[in-house]
Amino acid sequence: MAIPNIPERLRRMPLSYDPQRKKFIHFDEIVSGKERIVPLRTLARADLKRLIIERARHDPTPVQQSISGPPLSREQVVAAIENDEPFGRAKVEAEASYLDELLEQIREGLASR
Amino acid sequence: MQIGKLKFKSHAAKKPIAISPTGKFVKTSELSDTPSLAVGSLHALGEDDKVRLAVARYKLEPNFKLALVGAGLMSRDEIIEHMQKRTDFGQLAVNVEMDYCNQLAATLASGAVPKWPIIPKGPLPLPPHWKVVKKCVTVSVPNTALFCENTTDGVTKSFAQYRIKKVHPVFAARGFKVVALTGTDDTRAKFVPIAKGAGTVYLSGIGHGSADRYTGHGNIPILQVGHYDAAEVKGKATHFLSCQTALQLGPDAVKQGSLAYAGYDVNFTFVWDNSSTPIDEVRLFMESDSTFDIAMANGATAKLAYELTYKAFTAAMALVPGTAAAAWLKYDRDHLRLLGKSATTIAPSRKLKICFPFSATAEASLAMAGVAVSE
Repeated sequence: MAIPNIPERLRRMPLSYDPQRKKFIHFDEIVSGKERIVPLRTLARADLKRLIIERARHDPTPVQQSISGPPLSREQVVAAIENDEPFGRAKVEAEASYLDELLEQIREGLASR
Repeated sequence: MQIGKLKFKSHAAKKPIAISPTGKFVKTSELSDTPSLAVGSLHALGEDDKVRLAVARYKLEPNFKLALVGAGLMSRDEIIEHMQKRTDFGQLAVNVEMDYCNQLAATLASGAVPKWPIIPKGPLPLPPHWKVVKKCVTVSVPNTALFCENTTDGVTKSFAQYRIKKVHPVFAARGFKVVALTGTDDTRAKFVPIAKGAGTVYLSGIGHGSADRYTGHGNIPILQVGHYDAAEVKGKATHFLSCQTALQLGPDAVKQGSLAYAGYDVNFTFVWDNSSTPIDEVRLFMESDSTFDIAMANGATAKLAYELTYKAFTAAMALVPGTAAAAWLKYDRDHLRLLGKSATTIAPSRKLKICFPFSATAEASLAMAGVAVSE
């Protein structure tokens, strides 16, 4: 399996987090072998939330929205996560679930190199 | 006695069969030898000659009794008396003799012996000029796909426009009757009579929702748990692009008789298009969700439609790796729920048998008139 091609503009968004070193881990670091993937399931809730907030801060997506909710800018998304609002909780769930799958694809891609 | 090809009894052979232009009786044997004597109809004779010929024929007949239904028996002499007195019966008997003599003369002249008919053992085929009138006919009637599209809300409008342009035409092309409630018509008052219609098989749309309701224009409920008639959903497949309806409304609809219900058990979340990227992100959400509708329109089972929709979301995620769009596509994909019977399918039309209200009397009258009445 090929490593997913993460666009350049998205590579500032971390994919994982090492709680011992308090370090966000990025795509380029993983692919270059400089950093190893820390599985998200091993992270405490607070650390997971920290990772998702960091991703949201660097996310170029202008507006996110639920059908039955208001449109949210990047700053509002970050605030929703920080304040544990319903949208923020959904954002953490969505990001964590997706990152799990993405990291697995990257791991498989690296293994097949 | 053989005359021509016919065998006559002796007294019958002696009977005159016609009257010559000179007024003389013509015997059967004479007519057989000279067919030209048969030219012309005995009905052209004068009444006196007709009576004279008929009486002469009857006098050569051995005495017999003629049975007349409703009038009793009549002897040969009594019949002759009626002929001579020219009573109604007498005139009838004379004309019968003239008819028969005409027929006999024609047969002798043709030289052909009429044969007994062969009675067919099976039913005779209908003569081609008979018109078959079917008692019952089967017609194909289109089924209805009812869409409640919220086009008056800033969030749902673009999704509704996409669906109207990309989803509704697929149903129409397949033969469904498409009814789209849009604008200020996206209301429960408009929804109910169409949803209850016998031919409505599919309900769908984009609108705001929550666990127990799907709403239309003005966020006013179209379907709300505890506030709708089971007939509105019974026997139908439903898919709403809305928030949370799979939590309570979907299970309730299935309980009320809906065959299948596809919806989301969380807030359906998406990202608007990022103009700095080559891909229209919001369109990925529209295309992924509408895969369910299009698959159903094309005859897929609800299970297959669900699986195709899952794959569509997955394919969309791969187009925008690492983005918030991908994360939300996965979130929506993983929270799409299919409830009810997974084997549910919808058909663009149904067969309707229409039987005409013929009574037994009417049928008999038609049969007598030569019109075949059959199923």
